Amino acid sequence: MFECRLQRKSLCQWMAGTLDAAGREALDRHAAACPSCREEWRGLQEVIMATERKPEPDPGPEYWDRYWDRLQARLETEAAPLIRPGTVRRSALRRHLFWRRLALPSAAAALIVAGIMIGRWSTRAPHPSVPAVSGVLQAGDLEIRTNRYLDRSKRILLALVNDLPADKDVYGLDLPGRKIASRALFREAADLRGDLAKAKKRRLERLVSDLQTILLQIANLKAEDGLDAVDIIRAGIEGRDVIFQINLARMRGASGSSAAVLSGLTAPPAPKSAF
Amino acid sequence: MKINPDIDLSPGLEARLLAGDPEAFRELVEAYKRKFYGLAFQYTRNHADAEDVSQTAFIKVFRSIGTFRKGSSLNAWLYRVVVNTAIDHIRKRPFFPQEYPRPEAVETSSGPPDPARAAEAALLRKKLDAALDRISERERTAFILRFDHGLNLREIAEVLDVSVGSVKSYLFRSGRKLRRELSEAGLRLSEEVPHV
Repeated sequence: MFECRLQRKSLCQWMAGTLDAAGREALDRHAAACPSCREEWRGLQEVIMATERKPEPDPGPEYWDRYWDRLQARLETEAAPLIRPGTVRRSALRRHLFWRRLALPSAAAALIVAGIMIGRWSTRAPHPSVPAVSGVLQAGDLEIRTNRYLDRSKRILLALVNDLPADKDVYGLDLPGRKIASRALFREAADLRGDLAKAKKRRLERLVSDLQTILLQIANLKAEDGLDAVDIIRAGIEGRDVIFQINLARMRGASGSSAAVLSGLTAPPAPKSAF
Repeated sequence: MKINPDIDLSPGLEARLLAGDPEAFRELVEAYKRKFYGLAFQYTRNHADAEDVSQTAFIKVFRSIGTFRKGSSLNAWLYRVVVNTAIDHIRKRPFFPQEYPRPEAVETSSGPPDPARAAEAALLRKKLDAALDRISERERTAFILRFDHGLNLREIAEVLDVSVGSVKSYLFRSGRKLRRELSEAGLRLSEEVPHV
């Protein structure tokens, strides 16, 4: 039975084409002695053979000869610029692609700059003062707030990353709900960043700052921008490994939570926060 | 440049595409049109829809080639566009008939001349298509890309946006389910299967 379970993994590798020679020999030996595994392997071989025998659909040479003409007609109406057969309208296509390549990063850069400006402005905003509490409580409070913030942000980011763009129409991405949540988190980030900076948690502050930028982009998404705008944000999340950074921060938080609280005992008195 | 087992693109095509060369785009269309159509047909089972999906996919490629990340697989990126377009198309369709009439024009270029073998091939295609309809979308996509289009595991992982390990799992599960479906359909696939 154990051997069958072991060889099931080999069958999986065989199906994927990654079974090495030694694994193949072991599978051969086992299949010779085990009727059930032999039958299963035979079944998989049959399915693959059936796929190879299955003919491909082909509408015929006339269809293929005119394929480009029909595509070109659609390109003219649906995807300017115009491309004519035999004429290389490089300038039109390049212009289109140039502006497209220029426009998307420019929009992203504008969002980032706006995020930084708003972030700076909101951290300078006066906060209502509250009575100071002990350093220990403030350190614990900051950690809880940070963890909650990271968890809530992660949920939004994961939802955005895991939605395959073409799986759904952009209107199916629940943009309004995510925009409201992102806006609320964006506002919270300003206070949190200030408190993290004062507590000298620079790594966390950088992470929250990155999140703030992404959340601002999500908050400013418009359905009419289409999935391209969502793709830019997804690329930003993946490019900066933001979700991995959140997981890492949460792991550090979990392992060092007691240390963080203890460090608050010796830390200088925390400044007044919004809480 | 060999980026797909069946497709040989001219050297530097990727760079020319990214530079906005229309001739490069046309070359790409000529190289991939049969693959795009074939894959779209496997999802839609309908000539008109397969044409629509394949051309829509090319238009998307044309529009968004600027977002293709250098260094990643162009083949996988192209297949991802077609798969997403086809799935999108199916979901938007009001209904998906199991027995869609096949137009007269859609026949196999390499179809066997023997009527008995042609009938056998048609039956096999019908049963396999029906079995593929009954497995999950990801399993079906992984199976089709691997065994019909020859994509490697990493490329399939890129298309599905999952890990290579998940692709292996999808392939194994799809193989077992298809075997069961075909057995239940009473299709004897072969008399004697040689060890592969």
